[in-house]
Amino acid sequence: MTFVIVLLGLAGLVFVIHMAHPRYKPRRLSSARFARDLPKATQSKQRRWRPGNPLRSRPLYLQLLFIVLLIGALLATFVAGCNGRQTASDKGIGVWVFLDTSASMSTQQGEVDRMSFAHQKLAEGIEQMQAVGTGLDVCFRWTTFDLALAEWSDMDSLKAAAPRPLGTNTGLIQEAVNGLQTAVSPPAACSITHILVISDAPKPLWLDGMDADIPIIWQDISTPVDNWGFEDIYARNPLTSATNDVTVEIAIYGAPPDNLENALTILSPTGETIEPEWEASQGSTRRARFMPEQAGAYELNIVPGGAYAYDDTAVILVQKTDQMRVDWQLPDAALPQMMGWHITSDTPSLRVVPVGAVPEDEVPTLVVGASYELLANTPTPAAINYFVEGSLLLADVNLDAAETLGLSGPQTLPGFSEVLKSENGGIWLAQRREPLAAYIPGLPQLRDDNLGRFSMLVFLNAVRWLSQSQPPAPLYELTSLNSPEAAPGRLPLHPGEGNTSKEPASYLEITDIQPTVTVTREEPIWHYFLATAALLFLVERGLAALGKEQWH
Amino acid sequence: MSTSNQDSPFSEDELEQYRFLAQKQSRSSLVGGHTSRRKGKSLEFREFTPYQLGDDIRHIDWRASARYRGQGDWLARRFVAEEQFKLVISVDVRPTMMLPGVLTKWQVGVWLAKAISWITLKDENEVVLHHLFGQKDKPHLLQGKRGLKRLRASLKQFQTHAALGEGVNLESIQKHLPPTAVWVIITDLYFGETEAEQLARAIVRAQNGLRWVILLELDSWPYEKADMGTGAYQLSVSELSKNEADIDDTALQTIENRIFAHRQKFLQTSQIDLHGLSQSWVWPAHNRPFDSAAFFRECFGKDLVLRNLFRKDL
Repeated sequence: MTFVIVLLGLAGLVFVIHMAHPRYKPRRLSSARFARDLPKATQSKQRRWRPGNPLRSRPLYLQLLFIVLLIGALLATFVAGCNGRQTASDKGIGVWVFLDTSASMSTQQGEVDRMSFAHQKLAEGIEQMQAVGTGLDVCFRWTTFDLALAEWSDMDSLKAAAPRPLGTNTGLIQEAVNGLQTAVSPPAACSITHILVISDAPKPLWLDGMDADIPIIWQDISTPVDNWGFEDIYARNPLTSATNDVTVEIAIYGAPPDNLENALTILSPTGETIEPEWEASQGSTRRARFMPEQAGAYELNIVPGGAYAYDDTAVILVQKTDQMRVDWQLPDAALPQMMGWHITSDTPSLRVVPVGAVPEDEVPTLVVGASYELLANTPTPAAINYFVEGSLLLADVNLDAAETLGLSGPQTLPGFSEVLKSENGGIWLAQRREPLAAYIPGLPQLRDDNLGRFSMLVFLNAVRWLSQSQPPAPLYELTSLNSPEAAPGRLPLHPGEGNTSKEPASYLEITDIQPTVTVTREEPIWHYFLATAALLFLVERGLAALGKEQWH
Repeated sequence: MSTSNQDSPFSEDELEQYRFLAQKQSRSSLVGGHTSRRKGKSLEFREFTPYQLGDDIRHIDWRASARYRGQGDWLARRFVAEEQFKLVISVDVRPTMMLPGVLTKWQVGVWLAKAISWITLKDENEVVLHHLFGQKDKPHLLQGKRGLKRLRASLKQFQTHAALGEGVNLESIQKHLPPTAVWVIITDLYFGETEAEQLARAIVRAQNGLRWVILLELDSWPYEKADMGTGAYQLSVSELSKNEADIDDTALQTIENRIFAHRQKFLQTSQIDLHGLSQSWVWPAHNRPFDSAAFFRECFGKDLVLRNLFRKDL
């Protein structure tokens, strides 16, 4: 501010100097031509000094303006909110292109697949953007996406990327956009102004509610086509280890095939054709079951397939086991041998223990009571006064018949909840959910009476209930980033990839991509003041030297 | 008294009286000579011849004799018939003549032109009224009593003024300056060096061609000097040219010296002063109001050159 005060003082001095310039009184004199270039007046006492009117002096205005500009240059660095800078910006187009490379991009759509159609759309879009951005900076960033993002150096290398047997994760784009908007690092070589996504997936829901600084153009290049193929293949939960029941689910999108049942072929590991059992048609999903006789790779094919090929072939691995692994801790091991169970404490799928020795681990446990010999046929049979309706332990149990058995049971089972209880407080059946366990009065009685039927029924119900918490070994796994290629036991049956009949849903158009401010920078403005002041100084001095008298 | 629209300070009776007195003036006061005129006789100049003993001594042209002959060699005029007296009056009407405001030199020039024109026309002679500067102006010819009637209208031509920088108007009067004509130049001499050179050469040619050239200088400097005094001034003759000057006594003396030097140079170049045919009418050296008509009558009455112009015996 000192400089500003000094300059203001200079401005005042200029004013005083111009006031000190004597005021020349106009006078007409016939001999005026003889009064030019007179010697300087020496008789100061005879000279009447009159303060001149500086406002009549033309050079005064130029000189004052010069000083004002100098003050302005100094003040320009102090103006609040401006910081002596102006915002300058460059316009251009910077597009981050996301190209979908998921499995569904291999869908045949007319004469070409969806990926070829996407390439064409991309080429047209780039041509349009470069035309709009003529004379401006137009740049691109190339990325493909499926379950992960992959960067590419240019469009040619991007176009070389083929669809992969993987699913689609559109959330990756959302994360990329959010990361771009919050980036604090220096901008990349290409300053992004727009996001362009080319995919056969409809615009995601998060796009509608997204408040993005950078516009996102979502181009869904799909058109509905008919497709049918494997949606899921799974094994049913066995009660026994005798066989695995494999269920094949086939989804139908659009018009169904003429004869799907004939289209499906199942080959056993030995190459034998297996005829599945078909369930009645339920909407757009068909189910077929077959019983694998042996462990190994089973090949399933749908011929002819739909427009999407990755769901037409599946090779599953069936790991068939002859015996159920049971940790039998009762003294009598005749029953498990009869059931064909493999008695082992190594990774059992079921544990059978007497009451009072209930472990707390995660292995489903069947707790067996003292025995029906000890608990049944009590002299005073008690009626059932409590049961859990709908419990699987009571599936198909005749409670009236059960009352005649005269069962007794413990009064308490810590950690268990009663399922069937008599009026005298005896617990006949109980269950525990964490960890999974079930209580039955005793092992099944192999006799053909109420007791035999009741004991066997509740035993099997308990075993079934305990066995449902353990899903069978999967018949396949999905292809992943680590293992993107299909193989026996690894299938590209990603959810939604085979749904080729949905209507396209885009968001905005490529023509909406227009030149935008790409770089905003702050430039100082004080040098403009200084340059103008210098120019003004030259003009004033030039006029003083060469101009008419009023500029001297 | 200001120079307003006063027609002339002299009435016709006064001019008549002046004419009468001028014609009575003796030869001894003559400062120059011109062709003699004899009423009733027609004298037409024919040639110059060396003076022979017995010639009328009044026919000796002393100027021509001095120019072309040594001392004692005289030239006499030989006449065929009576020569008519032609008076050419050139009035300077530049912007410098429009000052000072109390009595402009222009007003004095117009009055003077009217007075001597009236006297000349009264004698049945010719008058040519002419703008000294301004190339576009044509002279007005007046003759005899008929010219008297047109005199007033012809004098109105001097109401149009020449601009600063306009050249000397000489071509238009060449044919109006025969030998023996009298050329009266009324000016303040405040023209530029180039104009001074041109006019001086024209005067020399005219004099060499046996013409009288009378320079009547109107000198307003004493009045303007007294009126302006010292101080800081933006001096100008007209709106076009302005000059800022810090005027003190030294500056005034410098101006005066420059005016004097300019005049002297012009007189020397034009050779007018050699023949004593220049006169100066000087404004009062004070800035008090004065009677402009009285001033004019005084100057006119004291001007011997003009008086000799109308001598009868010449």
